[in-house]
Amino acid sequence: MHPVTFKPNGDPLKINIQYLGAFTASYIYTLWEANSNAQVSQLSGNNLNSQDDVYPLPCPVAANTGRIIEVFSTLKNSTGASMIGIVEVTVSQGSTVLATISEQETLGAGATVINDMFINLIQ
Amino acid sequence: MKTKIILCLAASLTLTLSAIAQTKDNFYVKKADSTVLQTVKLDFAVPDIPAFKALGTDPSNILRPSSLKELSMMFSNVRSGDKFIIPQNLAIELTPGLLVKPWYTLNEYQKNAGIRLLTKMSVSVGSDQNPETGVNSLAFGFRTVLFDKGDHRLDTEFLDTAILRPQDAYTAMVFANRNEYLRSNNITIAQFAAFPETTQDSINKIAQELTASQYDFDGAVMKSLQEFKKKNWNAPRMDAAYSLVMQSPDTLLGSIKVNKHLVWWAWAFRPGKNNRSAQFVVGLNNSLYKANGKFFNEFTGNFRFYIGKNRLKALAEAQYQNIDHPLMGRTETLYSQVGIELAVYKSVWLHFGTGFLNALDGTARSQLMSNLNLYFSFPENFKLF
Repeated sequence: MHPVTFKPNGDPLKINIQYLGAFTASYIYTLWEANSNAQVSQLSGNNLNSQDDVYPLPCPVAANTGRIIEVFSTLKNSTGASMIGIVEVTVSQGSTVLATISEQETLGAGATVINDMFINLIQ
Repeated sequence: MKTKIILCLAASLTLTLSAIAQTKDNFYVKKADSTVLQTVKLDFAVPDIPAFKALGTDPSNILRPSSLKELSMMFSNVRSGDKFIIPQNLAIELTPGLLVKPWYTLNEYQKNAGIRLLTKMSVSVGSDQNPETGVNSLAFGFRTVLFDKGDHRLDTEFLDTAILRPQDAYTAMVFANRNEYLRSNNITIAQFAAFPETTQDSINKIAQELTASQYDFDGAVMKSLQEFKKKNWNAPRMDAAYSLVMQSPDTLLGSIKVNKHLVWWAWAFRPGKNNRSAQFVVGLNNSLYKANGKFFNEFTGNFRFYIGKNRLKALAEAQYQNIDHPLMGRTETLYSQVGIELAVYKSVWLHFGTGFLNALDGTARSQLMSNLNLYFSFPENFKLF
């Protein structure tokens, strides 16, 4: 789990999901309530168009304290050669980038690989 | 199992046909490069691994690293005492674009030809020692795909309908199965997120296996890709390769000299944008080789027309060749042929051609020539036991 510190009285938070490499990726972004199995929001998408993978977090900003961001992805390498795939999630507050978290996966020829990334929002 | 039996038969056939090839010089069994069989331009493809092609050596017979760690170990053996030497057995093929971390998104890959060129570029290095003359050869090769309209990753509509929509559904199913597993085992998401990565991976693997029993996503994608290949076998594509061969009378790198340059270029295109049954292929191959202290040239240009389907095609071809001999001077020939290419099995191809060879200076009579070639390759995941 990757901890990310934010200012509870600062600008709104947002995340940007990006996939680096020539493979297809599909994801489910979930914002989990702190210390609970309740979901604040759940959205899905894929990397066909990378411009629409930016999501604002709910306001007031302080309410996000302790919440967990999960980006659950499947990465599909539909070619005959293995390659490296990177899942990159950027957490921003206003125009300031708080953190860019990236995880790397090896995608064998024809393989479908799961990447599950967790980010803990802390003050 | 069926694949193994067929490939074993192909291997047995190779031994039998090799014996035939010793008595008849118009019948050949050839081990094909993977690209040859994927793109199916038999006799025509730019070599997968130019350095090995230039050496005339089968890389499977020589030492070949399978990981970067092995590669660095092999490079540590290029010194003898205080001198650099040519390794006697070396075969390396690398696609640097697949080894370095990607810096581009799928959208950028689709829009930027430079990224595609870099990611499809491969580098090969090979060395060989002639047991009779003791001459050591060292070859370097580069290969790239200049463009490939048959790359399914460039087709946004295909990606959307054939891969990403099924993938979205698959992702939702794996995610739901994972959550169900956590619920039934009283694991909260905070606990799961705090688990070591290996434990998380194990649980996600269970969810993935459960989903695979409900929906064969990989199978569905493979089927769609096969359909795509059927429709796009004749899509425009251009490949190029270069190789440089250096030779030394001993093993010392200090006495090595350039002996040969080779260039390959092939361009395949459709007769019309929507044509699915025919293809033109233009190929050029030039080599500049050193003999008696001078460089001589050898050039071959081919123009071929295919009609049919990917796995069964008729062909008509014209080939021009000129060779500068150290003693005989230049000879020019024109060969025209018709033939067929047939896929006996997915990695076993038959090629038959017959035609006339004419010497352009009129010094020799026209010759009727026929050839029958059997091409095969073993799939990467092939295991006998």
